[in-house]
This record gives sequence, structure tokens and C-alpha cells, in this order.
Amino acid sequence: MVKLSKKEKKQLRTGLLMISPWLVGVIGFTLIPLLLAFGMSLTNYSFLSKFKFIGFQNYITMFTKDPLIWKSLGITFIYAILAVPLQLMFGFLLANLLNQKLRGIVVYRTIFYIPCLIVVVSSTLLWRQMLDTDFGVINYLITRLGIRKVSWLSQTATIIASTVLISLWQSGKLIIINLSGLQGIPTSLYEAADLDGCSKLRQVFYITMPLMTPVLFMNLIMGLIGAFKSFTLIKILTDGGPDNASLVYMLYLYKNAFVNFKLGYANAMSILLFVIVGALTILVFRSSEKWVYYGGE
Amino acid sequence: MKKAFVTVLIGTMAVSILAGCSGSPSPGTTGGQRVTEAAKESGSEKVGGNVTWWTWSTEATDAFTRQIEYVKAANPKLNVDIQYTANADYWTKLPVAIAGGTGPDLYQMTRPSFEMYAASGQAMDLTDIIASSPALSKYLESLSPELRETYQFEGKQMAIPFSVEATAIAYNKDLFQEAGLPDLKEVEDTWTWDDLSELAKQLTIKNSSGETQQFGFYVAADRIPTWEMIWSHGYEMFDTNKETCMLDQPGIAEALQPLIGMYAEGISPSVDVVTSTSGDDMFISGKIAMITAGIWKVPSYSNITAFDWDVVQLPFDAVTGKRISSSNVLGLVVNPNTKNPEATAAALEELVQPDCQQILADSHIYIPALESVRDGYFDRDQPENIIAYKKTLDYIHPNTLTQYIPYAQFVTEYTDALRKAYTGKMTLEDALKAANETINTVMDENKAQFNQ
Repeated sequence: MVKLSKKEKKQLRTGLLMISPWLVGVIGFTLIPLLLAFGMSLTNYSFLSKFKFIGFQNYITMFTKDPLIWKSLGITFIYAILAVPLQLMFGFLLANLLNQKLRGIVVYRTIFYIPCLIVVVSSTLLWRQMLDTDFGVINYLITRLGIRKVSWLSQTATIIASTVLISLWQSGKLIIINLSGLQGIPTSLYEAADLDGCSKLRQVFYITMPLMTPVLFMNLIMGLIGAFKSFTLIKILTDGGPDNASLVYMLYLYKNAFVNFKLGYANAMSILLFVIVGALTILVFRSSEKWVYYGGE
Repeated sequence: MKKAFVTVLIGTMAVSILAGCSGSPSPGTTGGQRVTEAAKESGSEKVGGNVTWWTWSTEATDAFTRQIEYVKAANPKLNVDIQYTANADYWTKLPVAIAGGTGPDLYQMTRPSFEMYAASGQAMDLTDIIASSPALSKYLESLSPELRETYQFEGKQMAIPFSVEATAIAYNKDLFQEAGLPDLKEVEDTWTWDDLSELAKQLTIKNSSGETQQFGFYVAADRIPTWEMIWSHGYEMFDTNKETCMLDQPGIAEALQPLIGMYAEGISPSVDVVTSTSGDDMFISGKIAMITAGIWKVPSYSNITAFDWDVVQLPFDAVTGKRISSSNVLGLVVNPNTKNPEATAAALEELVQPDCQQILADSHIYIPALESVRDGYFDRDQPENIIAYKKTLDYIHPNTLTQYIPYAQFVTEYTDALRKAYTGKMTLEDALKAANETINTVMDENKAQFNQ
């Protein structure tokens, strides 16, 4: 144990005091709820009855007796694997397109940003109408093209595709973040590349993308966390149906807590989600040493 | 100086955070006992106070507002604040609030959820309140025994029924005329589910590509009309003690066979469609000839102008010769955490007055539980045969469930089983058996928890 001098102790106390508002927030609103959640996951707490300590029974049930846990995790992973890379590519490509010096480019940037200003519930309800099998405008348009209408909200594959489509439509924030990253790249690099006869495509791969890796890295982390926490879209679109075909993990957690009233079990599910997302985040951070380039290294 | 400033700042923040924490309700006498004592003390003096009333029935806003005005006029000391929450959110918000020691003074209850709330202490025992209230006693005595007893739990009155529902068949009269079929009113008193199926077949029209342009009947994977058919066939979904689910009885699968047949023949929209498209939308747009219609559908169907429509009573079961309609008897429950039990009881006393219940009837939104004022509900031009719902009230079955499984969870398992059977993924017998097993597993877990 390092022994601190009187002066160092005083400095430590002052430092802690200075960061204490943040510390109180983290402890009060993050650490304590996390510990409470873990504690509750060791009980059979329900809104409608008294609870008792049952140890790790909830976790045993999750891993051995509840097939819907694996189904919901599977659906969530599939959604994350599809949605996150597509969101990253879509955001990056659109940002590149919007990073042009064109007349009225501000208007186009605004148009692409507007969807994420609309409240998610309202926009999802609209999409549900548009994706309606019989009355939806999307099926109306595709039948006019001679294609058979699709039941967009009746099978896992089509529901996930619809959800990914809606999430891409709402990726205005990603586009803006990418745009600000692009605008931070010194134009001198592109000028030098032009002078050396480098094609635009090669400039994207050898200048833009390496310098954008910190932004892409941040978007990847946030995208992964967001994908695993996806709830509102599916709740409004299909409520996990039909027959749990679109039951994402967060929705199943919600149903266990507020439909089945099994709060202890729902808390155990939230701890598992915390572990999974934490593990994925650590994995991405570890991998970032290989592919993220911070200028100045 | 800097240190002192920071210390004061942290102290202020800590105080402001702790100020948000509310104290727990003080222990002591039950709500019912407090009301009885207050009633004895006050004698005939009217009790006042603030009462918060939670409901999901936004369609009844006008009626409830007028009822509150009635309460205010009858007792100016009472301030009733009604708060509306969308149905889905209501059932999330309510148990959380009550479990947290807060929540409204008075809240609306739907029949299938009642047992769970009563068994878990989230509803106040109203026995003492009723005993000390001539108005509430008189009201309950004037209800039919079925309605009165449906909100009793272990012999105790735990809620005040205020509205009753019924189910009928709504039909598109124009489509019947075009098909050269007789008006359903002519067969209303004799028809069976097989007759309905036959009529629906004749009313189903496909185009040259084989796509159905018009469906004869809308079958939802829902409690309506399946619970009607099960009860009409002489079966119950739970045993007498409500401790075991009995969906695996062969008679239940037998009762629901007409629906399986209609799906197989394409008379009803497929399950894929009924998941994403509301049956009401399809009926209102003239794509469906017949649909089961709970009384709460009438206000929205009344806006139909494109075609003529009407309602008739449900078909009979071909084997038993009976017909039974499900009924979500709505009730008012007093929150055991209420800080104003006297005012809440006083508000209830005014709400059950015949004149106040008449407001509900005249609004044409809810049929009052009080029979003497019901006629006002049926005094309307559309649908022409609205009296079908009145006749249906003679054979209603309240939607009783069990305390051992939440209503939403039961419905999820039940409707998933129906969908699997409709789509042919499983036979109806196997689907109901699987659902029965799951439901009984949940019930056994919850029984253990209730009895610990």
C-alpha cells in the first residue's frame, strides 16, 4: 500500500471533493441501482406478492429452463449483426455524399436529419401503417410493380428487415457525427493526394477511412449498445409477435417485469444483458488497437 | 474558502436529492376501519377531500366528466381528479404505483385481472365501507347476484361493479343483399356457428387470381369469440378452485373447430393479416361481411357511412343449444394505500347513485351494471338492432380468470396457441395442450409464491 504524505492526502481529499458531485451521481444513479438490480435478481420479487431470497435460482432457470431467453438473444444478435454494420456503412456513405460543396447542401443535410427528430413512437406507428399487408403503401407500390405483396410483420426475417430499414431511416445522428468527423480531416491531405495522382476511391480508403476510424469506433460501440437495447421499434411494430418471432431481448425482459410481474427474474435478465454488452464492448476496445488510428500516433 | 463553498454545494445537492424521497404510509388501522370510524363521527355530515381516479377509458371522457360534475354538485367538498392512461400503459403503471405505496385513491378494474390484484392485497376490502354506507349497500343489492358476486374475493366485496359488456355479431347488410342472402335478424334466434360458417362461405369472394377480395367472417386469435364458444359448449378454462388450467379438455378443441375450418377454407383473413391489420379496419372498409363485435366497438362502427350495418345475437352452440357471451364487467377498486379513504368512499357513494349511473347510460359508451337505468344506453338509432346487446345481457358470463397468472400472460399463451392451430403449425388439440402445460407451470410457480 502506497503511503501518502500529508500534502498528498490533502490534495487527494480536495480532488475527491471537487469530483464529488459527479461521484454522487455515478454512485447514486448507476452503481447503487446496479447493485440493487443484482440483489433483486437473487429474489423472486413480484409486484403482486411478498418476495424471498432464492439465490441464483433465476440464473439457473434462465440457462436451463427458459427457451425464450435463447430465442430472444438469438433474434437480438441477428438484428445487431445486420443493423450495426449497415448503420455504420449507411451513415459513413451518406456523410461523404453530404460533405460536398454544393448549393443547397444544408437543405439536404436537414432533410436527412429530420427523421431522427420525430418521436420514435409516432414514426414507428406510421411505419406500421405503411408496412400493413393489406392497406400499407409499401405493398401498394410493390404490387403496382407486379411484385406479390409481402407480409412485412409476420415472420422473423421480414420483421428484422423492416426494423433495420426503419433504423436506417432514423440514422440522422450517425450521419451528422460522421459529417463532423469528415470535416475534421485536413484538406491538405487530399490536395497532396491529388498532386500525387491518387484517385478519389483510393483517397477514401487510404485517407478518409483511417482518419475516420475513431469516429467509426465510437459509432460501433454506441450502435452495438443500442442494438442490444432495442425495444421501442419492436414493441410498437409487433409486440414481439407473431408467436415470439420478433421477441428481442429487451422486450422479453420488459414482459417478464411488467406483464408476467416477475421482477426478480427480469433483474437477472438485465444483469445478463449487462455482462453480454460489457463483454462485447471490451472485445471491441481490445480490437481497436489494431484498426483505430488516432492522428499523432 | 473554496473548500467551504464546495462543501455547502454538496450539502445543498444532497438535501435536494433526499427531499424527493417520500415517507412510507403510516401503519395502523385499515382504510375500511378508518372510514367506518369517520362515518360514525361525522354522522350525516358529508365528507370531503381530494380523490384521484385512474382509468384507461378515454372513450368515456365525456361521461366521466359529467359524472364528476354530478359528484361535485351533490357534494361540493369532494374534488375528484380523473386521470387517463392508455390501456397498455395503465396495467404497467398501476401495480408499480401500488407496490410503491402510492397510486390513485380509486382505480378502474377489468374483470380478468381482478383476482390477481385482490389476492395480492392491491385492492381494499370494502366490507366495512359498504356496511356503513346505505347508498353502497342499496346499490349492490340492486345488482344481479352474478354482477355483485363477480367482484367478491374469498367472500369479501373488493370492488364496486359499474359497467357490463356484451358481444354480438356485426354484419354488413349491403353485402348480404348483394349475395341474395336473408338478413341475419331472420335467423338470429336459431342460428348456430355452423350456420355462420356456411353463410360466411357464401359471402367470401375471390378474384380471378385467387386472391380474396371479400371475407365472410373475421376470426381473431383472441378471446372473442373463442371464450364465447368454449362456454357455450359447456366448458370452463379453469377448475372450480381456479388453481388449474383446463384448456387441454377435448371439448374445448371441439368447441373451436368451426374457427379452424373457416381459416382452412380462407373464409377469414389469414393469421398474418390479422396480426398486422385491425379487424375493425377491414370491416369498416367493407372487406369483411361479419365480425364479432364487443359493445365497445359500436361507437367506432357508428361512423360507418359507406354501407348499412347492423348487429345480431351470437350463434348457438350446435351441440348444447346454448349461447353465452363473455362480459368484461368493469369495477371500481379502492387502493389500500389511499390517504383519503373517507373521501373515496364518499365519491363512490355519489357515483353509484342511479342519476349518476344514468349519465353513463345516456353517453352510449358503457352499459351500466345497474339494470334500472340501462334503457338509456339502448335508446339510439344505430345500429337498428341495438336491442341484440340488451338480450345478450341475459346470458353473459363474466370474464373470470385466476389469481395465479396475470391476464396478459394468459392471453399471450392462449392466443399464440390459437395462431399455431389456425396456421396449421400444430393441431388445435396439441396447441391447447402445450399452452395448458405452460400456463399450469406458471400457475404452480405463482401458487408457491402466494403460499410462501
